[in-house]
Amino acid sequence: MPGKVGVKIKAARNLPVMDKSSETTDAFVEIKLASVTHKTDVFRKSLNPTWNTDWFRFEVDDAELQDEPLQIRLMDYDTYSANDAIGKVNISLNPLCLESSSQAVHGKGTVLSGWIPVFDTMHGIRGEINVIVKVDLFSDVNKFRQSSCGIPFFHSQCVPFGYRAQVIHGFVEELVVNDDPEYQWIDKIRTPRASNEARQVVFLKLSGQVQRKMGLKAINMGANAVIGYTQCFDLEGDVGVVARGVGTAVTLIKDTSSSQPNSADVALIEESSTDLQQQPGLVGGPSGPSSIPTTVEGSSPSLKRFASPVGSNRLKLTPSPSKSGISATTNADSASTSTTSTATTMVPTTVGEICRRSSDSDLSVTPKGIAFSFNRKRNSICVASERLVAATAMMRLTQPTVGAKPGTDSLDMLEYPFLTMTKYPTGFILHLGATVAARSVKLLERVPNPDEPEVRDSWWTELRMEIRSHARSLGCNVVLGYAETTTISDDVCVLSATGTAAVINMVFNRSVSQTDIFTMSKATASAAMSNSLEEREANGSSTGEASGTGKDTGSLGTGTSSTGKRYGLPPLNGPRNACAICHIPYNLSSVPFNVKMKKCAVCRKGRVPDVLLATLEVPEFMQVTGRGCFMQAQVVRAKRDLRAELNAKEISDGLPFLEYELHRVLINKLKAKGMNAIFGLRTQVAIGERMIALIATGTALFLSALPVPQVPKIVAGNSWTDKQKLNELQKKLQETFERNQEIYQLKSLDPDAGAAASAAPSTDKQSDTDDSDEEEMNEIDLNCGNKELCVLEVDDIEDLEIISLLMEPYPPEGFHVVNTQQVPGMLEMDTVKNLQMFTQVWRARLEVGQSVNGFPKHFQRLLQTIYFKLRTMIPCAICDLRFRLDLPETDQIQLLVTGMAMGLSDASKVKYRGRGRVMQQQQQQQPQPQQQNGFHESQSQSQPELNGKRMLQEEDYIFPLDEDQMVDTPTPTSTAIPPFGMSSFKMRKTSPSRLSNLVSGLPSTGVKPLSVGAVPRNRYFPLRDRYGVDLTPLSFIPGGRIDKYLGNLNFFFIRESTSIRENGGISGFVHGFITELLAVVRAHIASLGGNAMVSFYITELMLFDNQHKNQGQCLISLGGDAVYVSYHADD
Amino acid sequence: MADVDVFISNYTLVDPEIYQLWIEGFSSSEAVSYLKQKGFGHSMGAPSDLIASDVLDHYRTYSLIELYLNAPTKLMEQSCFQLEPHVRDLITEKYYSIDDVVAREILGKKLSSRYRKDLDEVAEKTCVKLKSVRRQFDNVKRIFKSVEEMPGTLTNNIKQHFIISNDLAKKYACIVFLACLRFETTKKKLQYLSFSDLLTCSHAIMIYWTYTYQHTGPEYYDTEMDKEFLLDLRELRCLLDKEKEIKHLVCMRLKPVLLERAFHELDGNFRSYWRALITIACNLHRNRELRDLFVDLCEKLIDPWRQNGWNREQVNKFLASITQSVLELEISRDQETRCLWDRYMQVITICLDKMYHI
Repeated sequence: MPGKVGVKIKAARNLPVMDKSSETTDAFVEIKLASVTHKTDVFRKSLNPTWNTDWFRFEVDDAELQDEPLQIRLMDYDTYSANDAIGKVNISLNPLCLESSSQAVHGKGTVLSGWIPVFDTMHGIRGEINVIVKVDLFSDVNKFRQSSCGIPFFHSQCVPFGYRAQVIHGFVEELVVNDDPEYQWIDKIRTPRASNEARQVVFLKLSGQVQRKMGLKAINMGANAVIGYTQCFDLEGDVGVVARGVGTAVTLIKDTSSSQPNSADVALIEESSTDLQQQPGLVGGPSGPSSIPTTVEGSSPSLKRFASPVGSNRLKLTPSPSKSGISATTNADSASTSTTSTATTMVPTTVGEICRRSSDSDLSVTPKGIAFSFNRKRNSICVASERLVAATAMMRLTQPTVGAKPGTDSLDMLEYPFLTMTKYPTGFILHLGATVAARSVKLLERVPNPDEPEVRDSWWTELRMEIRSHARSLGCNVVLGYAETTTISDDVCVLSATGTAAVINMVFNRSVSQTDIFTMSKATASAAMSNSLEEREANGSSTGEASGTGKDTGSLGTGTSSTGKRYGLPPLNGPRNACAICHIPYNLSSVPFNVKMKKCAVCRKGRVPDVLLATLEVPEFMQVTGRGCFMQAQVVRAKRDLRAELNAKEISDGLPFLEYELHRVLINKLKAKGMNAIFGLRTQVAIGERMIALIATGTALFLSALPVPQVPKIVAGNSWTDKQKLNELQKKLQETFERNQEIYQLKSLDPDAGAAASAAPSTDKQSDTDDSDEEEMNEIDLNCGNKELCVLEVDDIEDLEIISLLMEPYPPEGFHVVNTQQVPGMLEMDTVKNLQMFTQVWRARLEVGQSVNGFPKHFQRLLQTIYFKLRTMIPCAICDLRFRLDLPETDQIQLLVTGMAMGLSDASKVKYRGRGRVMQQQQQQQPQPQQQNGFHESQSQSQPELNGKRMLQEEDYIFPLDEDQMVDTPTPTSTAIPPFGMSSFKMRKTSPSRLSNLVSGLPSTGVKPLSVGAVPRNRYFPLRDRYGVDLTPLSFIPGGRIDKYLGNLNFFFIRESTSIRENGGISGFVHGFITELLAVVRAHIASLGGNAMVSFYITELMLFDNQHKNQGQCLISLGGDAVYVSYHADD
Repeated sequence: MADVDVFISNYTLVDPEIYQLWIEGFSSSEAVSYLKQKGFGHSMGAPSDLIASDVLDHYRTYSLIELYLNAPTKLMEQSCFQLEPHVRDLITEKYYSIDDVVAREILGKKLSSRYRKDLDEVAEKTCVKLKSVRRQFDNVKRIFKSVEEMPGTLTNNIKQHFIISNDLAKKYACIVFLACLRFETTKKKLQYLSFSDLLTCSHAIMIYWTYTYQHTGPEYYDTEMDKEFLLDLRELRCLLDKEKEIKHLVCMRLKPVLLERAFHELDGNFRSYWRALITIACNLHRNRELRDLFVDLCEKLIDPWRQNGWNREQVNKFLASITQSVLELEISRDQETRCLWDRYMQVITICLDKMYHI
């Protein structure tokens, strides 16, 4: 079905002088869509022409609407010779095809209107043009349609704000192969401008095509959106260009509306058929009721209790106010256990649940700042899935045919249980396995028919299968944070796929009985799946139980006190999950590799690996001690300069060594930092003519559940004699280790606990358990210590250098650097003053011989440069720092670094804010043990999850009290900042007066020992006038709230110059180009009615530089999600 | 050394210190060594290659922005550089900043490209870097060209079109005004006058002697002298006949306040001073005489006073009393003469006060 595109050209301004003699320009505009071209009149002799044309109309197929960019070209009319091009504007119509939420008119798209810079590939920006573009789309319900107009794509690596993921359908990918115009014969006779423009259009078309096809796949899965979308262009030289897209198909629904789900596909993801043995005695425990108190207990102030027998605890845990809550719990529980198979009985229950939940979300809609919207999002996801279950159940019951169809469809799509997002709702992930990666080296050969993407498809299929099998062998049912990348050097292509194997809650937030419904309905479609599900339930019913407790805690909250409390808590995340996520999902004997395992430091029951690597963001309920920090490992290896097959072999032979080396460096650095986990791990291969390099970046942190890392021990190898030197090194290493512990506040638990215990004479029993607890822990450490000690063997000078690398310089004071979206362990992210997205391009020649050894120094230096350039923003947090390494020529190294700097309002104090009302009785303060009365306990158990949810990041300001607790004046008992998250059990202090305040619902003022008083609220919403357009690689805008997504924008730009020297050299060329690109992107966002772009990316910066010819060419692909953000001055 | 080393941020970073150096015409390497000497970036422990890379980044940005700075209204609407409003104002203001010494040199010169080539002399003389002199010259020329023919008052026009502060706009208004009417300021005799002296003088002329004195509205330019007024000034000639009465009145006023020696000197030379004042007034309607106003004031009044050892106070007292005396004089005829005299003396008083350096 066709769509109608209307274009109106209003005016242009600041055009360049095209006619030198009269110093003016005779401008006119050509508007082209697909094969139709319209022209405006010539506006004579003006640099600021106005046309104010009528609508130019194009009637196009909706597939064309998606594939073809609208091309607006400004020309200078010339009577005698050919008209000269001034520049061009390419507009992707995809965002205009999206249903706009504000416009109720059916089938109407949004409008693009505004000044857009006119870009010329030879001259850069040449003036601006004012256009209005609108699309009238006739909606198409045809089953066999070729287009997927209206399927929104989100680059955001999480569920977009304001939406709920009703169903997560799974992985979608698409791959389109095309000729690269630059490498065609015609290019030999075309002008550079013509060829660049042709190329730009081809790339835009490819981008459109990929999205159209992916959209179609998503529609077939029953999804209505693709999130976590990433798009890449592989420039394979004369072989052509490959455009790839990967994403996750989801059914999104608006948070506010309670629309009927339009798809009944509940199937989440294919489950691994691997037997999931969950150490039944451990997780499963007895049946429902008895496990609940355990869960509740986990978050209550004392950890020690946890170790003590469950039964005795439970008695203590039934205090007066929450009695009703408990009874509710048991009720719910019994209900869920009894109604196992009969769907009909279950449905009403769920409906009741829905009503309650939706009212919750309505309540939470009242915007109170970004922090809150986060919170809401988290909740709403849970809500959504809950509702979804109900809806599905109903649909299945009433229309079995509908249910069957998506079921069969889902089989195809579930081939790969991959999700591309890096951030998931609380409770979604049950266990994190490990990072899985696969690479393959391929030789690019001319494809006889470039339109046949099968070869490339099969390459990726191989990789995906490998990833899948890795995940399975880890006992995981899904790969999260999945990403695919390529590295091309001449005709060799290295394909890499990576992700984090994990076990997710397939029946996310559903009760056992619902699971059963699910299983049953599924059984018709896929026997294997239901099998595995049943199997799982039999094996300790980990999933069912987790969801059961989640629900229980939710209802418990209701029972206890005010309704408002409930949505502060994620209804799902049982506190047990908080450490369970670190527990290994696989059985030791079943994995084909050697893993060192210990008992979980939190619950002392589960087994945890000694180091955890993940490609994900730090899950929100994860217990982290201290702060996280950026870390990077770079390894490089010389390679012979070979051609074709030999080259491929050389690379493929070298990669495993690099991979091993990289891992070694990474782990050693991690240990030297005193941390035990890396999140946001990204690795990248770079291949030059004589080098292969591998870099990995990540955010190191200390997970409370994982064992305390030991200082790596340096051991002399056989041929090493200089003991003195080694001792020195060891000492230095020790110092580094300790310094790190201090800087990142990694040591906080044990000494404090000791102090706490000794200072609390009244809680004898507690301290007792505490002591014993510690002993036990020590024991564990000792036991495993010898085995697990990280040992570095020194054999020659090279090894020494590697060791010296472990002691990286620190970022200057006032910088918090990570590559995740938030700084783990830091709470003041919301106090953002200003935002600054930055891009650093650095290219240099490596001196021969120095190339391998001095390699990591370049990275360090570059970081220093960035710190220095951001000096005015101190104190600041640098997030989402990404490196991209290229080895463009024999002895050249090019680095592209992007990141987000956020000026913090006050970093001299590491600040921990209470989490609104629910947190007010549980501040993280100096350990001030005190009598814990039953009353208190009941309070804290009523909000079990929040401990886990206490996060560094956004908080809600919904509550009028300002619960700032500065920990900037440490008392002698603890110099360290208490950890955030659940790990702070030992340091929680609750004063009775506060409690009473809580109960009466009034803010407490005078009681806080370290009260900073009522800080003006607007401090958190900087009063800086927001102006212009923010670009950020993050998926949110710190300090703002995303009101509306306006569609994703993808650009591909080429800039060429034949006067490099005159314009400040190649640096000036790149500088000018990127500056202009950002301007173009901002203008597009603004003309769509947006004021920011989230998930902004710059990739594929290719720079060709011919100094002798004074020529340069640069290609950049960039994009993101255009959004409208509102900044509250505060309520 | 890196081939490419660029840092681009979404909001354009402007470092006031580096920008100032750029404005002052420091080359990037000069700036680096200057900053290093000053201990710039010392707190961050930045080695000099970091400073260099930073300075280069800033310099590149500034030279890209410079295009827009030439037309600050375009800087407002451009989208290439996201500048915070206060930063934007700062960089325009700084870009159009003008050194008084340079302005003094440029005054009275023809704003031609030929003169632009000779700016190195100015640079040498004023100890301002050539690059900076060029920028200032170009700014003056650009502003002159754009507001020369524009209706309305100069200061406002400049403020509006170049988005600079009032004080700075006034400076340019004065330069444009003096250049439009081609006042003589370059004579050797006048070399002692500073730019700020001339600024005050020309500003007074603009206020009191142009059409905008009595009229308001866009059709009146403050670059156009009030021709009628200048012609009417001829009528002051009749005051020559009243010399005696006036001298009497003046002497009466000044006797108690002046030293005896000074009073005697005034008593003796009153005639020549008086005649000089009136002659200047009567000749102002001739363009040439108008242009030479400063020269005439200098030759006919300031030089003799200086020779006779007047001090500034004495000059002011003399001017005040003579103005007052004429106004008090019983001239049967008219109010008109008084008005003329008052309007004339307003400017003359200000000019002589400013121009009288001991």
